[in-house]
Formats: sequence, structure tokens, C-alpha cells
Amino acid sequence: MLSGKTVMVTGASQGVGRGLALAAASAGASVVITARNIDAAEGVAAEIRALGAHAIALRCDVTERAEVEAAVAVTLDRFGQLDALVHNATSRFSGRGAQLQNVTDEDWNDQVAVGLRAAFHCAQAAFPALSRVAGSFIILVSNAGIEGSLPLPVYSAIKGAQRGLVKSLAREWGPAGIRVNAIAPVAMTPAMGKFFDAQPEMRDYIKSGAALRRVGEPQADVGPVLNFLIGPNSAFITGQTILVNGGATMV
Amino acid sequence: MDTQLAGKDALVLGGDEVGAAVARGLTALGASVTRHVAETSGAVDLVVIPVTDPGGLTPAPLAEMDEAEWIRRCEAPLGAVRVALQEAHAVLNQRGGTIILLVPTIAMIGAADFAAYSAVGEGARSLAKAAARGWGAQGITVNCLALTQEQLAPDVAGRVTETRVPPALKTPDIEHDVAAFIATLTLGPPVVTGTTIMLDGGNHMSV
Repeated sequence: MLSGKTVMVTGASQGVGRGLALAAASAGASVVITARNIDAAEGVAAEIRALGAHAIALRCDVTERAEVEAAVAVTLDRFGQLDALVHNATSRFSGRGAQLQNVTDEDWNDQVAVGLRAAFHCAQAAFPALSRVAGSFIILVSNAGIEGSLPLPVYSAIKGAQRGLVKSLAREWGPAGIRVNAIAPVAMTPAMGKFFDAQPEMRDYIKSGAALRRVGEPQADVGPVLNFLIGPNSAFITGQTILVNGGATMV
Repeated sequence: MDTQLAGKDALVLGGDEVGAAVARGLTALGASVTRHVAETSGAVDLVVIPVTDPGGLTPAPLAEMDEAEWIRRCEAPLGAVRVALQEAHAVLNQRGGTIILLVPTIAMIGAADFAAYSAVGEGARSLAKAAARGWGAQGITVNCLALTQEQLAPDVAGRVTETRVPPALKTPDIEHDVAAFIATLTLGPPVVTGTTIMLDGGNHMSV
């Protein structure tokens, strides 16, 4: 499905990003794994190469414009094109709970940097390359950005803001043939695993809230949706948020 | 003369011309209106937060924007909404009350050359929902009223090509119609929170 395409995924050294990278590679794409932890990123790239697909790992702090631009430049040098950039990276503070009245500048600023400024960096850095191939720009968002989250107000704001960015950018870049979409997954990640270990009752609570009574798997459940959005079968879809949550929220 | 807000204290935070129009309208309805937290005598009944940063109301293609402009158009105004909500909570948490954000419809439907502003608008709506969930137990409701670019910035409304469909009704005027609707939400039973009402005269119906 994605043979001949090159896909860059930010924050791909673990969790949902890793699953998306593996899924894209399994569908035939060459994959660029970017993360601040280069050792972990190299590990994912090695996993993909072991499957017989092409992958490289790049250290990239997405809050730094120069590093994002360099990652795109290396991608083009290595693979000749960039068909999709998937902005998945999230702040290390994204799971830190605090009611809105108690949110500090520290909580706010790092999530803004990774969620919004980095999205801006990724969009600008990828725009020339994506416009040459009528590519896709995709942002991983969250149900928190749709429903609002009591314990995670900052995360809600950032994910909601990313959805606004997606919709307007889809209209702005549509004439250039670039499609812009968002995916809102509920999927098992190392962070969610730690959360469930600390609060085992939450595992059943979250499962019971989904019509399909389970938490998704990044590669098996979310990956195919990414591949669909990158691939030719979604050529008429842009500006959308696709909820991949087992029916936890139905808009 | 309609003075349904007589005895009510209102705080309208920022918003320049839009905020000023809301303040005039609420004053005409009998409310005692201040424009800065420092001017309040303590608790208030209503806080209005216009998410209408003047810089964001003008078009700006994302690909041509430098980082300073991105921060000015997106990160700074969204951060200001966060601070405004925290200030609102501080003046409402003693006796509960109403928080209303005025947000742009273009954030919900998308508009070319308004990506940064759209991010602010949708981020503000999500923040309002989180606040609504958190503060409901304190008797505070948080809702959004969505207004079109024609209402918020008539000078550049023609640049928004996504709003060509005419409204089914007349376009609500901020000073009179929007202020009156805010009064309705303020005086009504506290049973609606975390929602967005399109106050555009029936322009956009897809949300």
C-alpha cells in the first residue's frame, strides 16, 4: 500500500509513535524514526530493518526548528522524497495532572513547545517536500482535545489547538494537494501501562467506557488508520479527526 | 429599559473592540462592568473572555510565518486564555457564576490563512471544557459562544472564503444580541456547561 513512500514519525522511539512506524514499514514505506532518545530510536529502526524494510533513526528535538529542518533534509537526501510527516511527539508533562486553576507556567510552556511550536516547525519544514508529492501532514491528537479532560486541562488545550490547526491548514494547503488530518487514538503505551500499574482499577474503567471493551494497540489498531490516511484510498479526505478509540467517544 | 442584569457584577477581560462592545451591552442591561481583575471589588457573577486577539483576526499563511509571529498569533493568545480562565476562577469560586468565552467559528470549520488563530480558538474551547468539568462542583459554568469573522472583524471577513453561505437569520450584533444572550446564560438555571453555542444567526450548522 505504501511502497515507494517515505514517512517521518516524530516521537517514534516508543508507544504510539513506534507502533505507527512499524505499521507504515509493514505496509512498504521507508520510515524515518525521530526522537530525542537516539538509542531508543535506533532500536525501532533496527526492528524495522529486521523486517526487511528501510528505516533510519535521527535524533531530533522537535522544539528546535533547526533540528526538524535537518531531519527533513536528511530524509530527502537519503530517500529522495517525503510523503508524510506524522507529528506524534508529546511533552513529558502531558500526563501530569492538575486542575486548571493550579496549572503553572512550567506545565504549560513545555506542552506548548512540544505540541504546538513543534507542530509549526514540522509543518513549515515539511511543506516544500510535501507539496512536491501531494503528501500528507498528520498530527496525533486525543479525545481530551474533543471532550476536555478534568485532570489534564493543558493536554486538552494543546490537543484541541492541534485540531484547529489541522482544519485550517487542510483548507490552506488543499490547493497544493497536501492533505492534513488528525488521529485521536486510545492505545496502550508504556506511559499508559505505568498508569494502569499504579491504578489497576483504571484499566477496567477505561475498557468499560469503550464500546469494544478494550484499549487499542498502537501498531495493530492505530497503524492501519495511519496507513489509510497516507495511502491512495484516502485521497479525498482532509481536515478530519479520525477517532480510533474502540467507540469510547462517538462524535 | 431592560435592566435584567441589575445587581450583577461582570468582568470582561480583554478583547479590545469586541470586549468593549460586550461591556457596553452588559452595562446597558444593568450590570456593573469592569474590564480588569484589579478593578473588581471581590467576587463577580459573570466573566466574559473574548478570544479575539486582534493580531489573529487578520490572515497569515502558515508557510510564510516566522517563529515570532507564530508565538504572537498562537501561543501567546492561547496562553492568555489560560491565564484569563484562572483569573475568572479566582473571582468566581466564592459563590459560583458564569464564564463565557467568545470564540471564532472559523476555528471550528477551518479557514485558509487562519491556522494559528484556529489553533487558539479550538484550544480555548478544549480548555473551557476542561474548566467546565473541573469547576462545575463549585457552581461555575463555562461555555463558549461562537461568532463569525463578520461579527469579530468585519474588515477582513471577506478573506474568509469558507463563510459564503448566508445566515438563516440576521447576524447577531455583539453589543445588543450577544450581550442579551450572555444575560440569558447568566440568569438561567446552571444546567448547561462545557458546550459551544453558534451565535451566528444560523450560518454554520455542521457543528
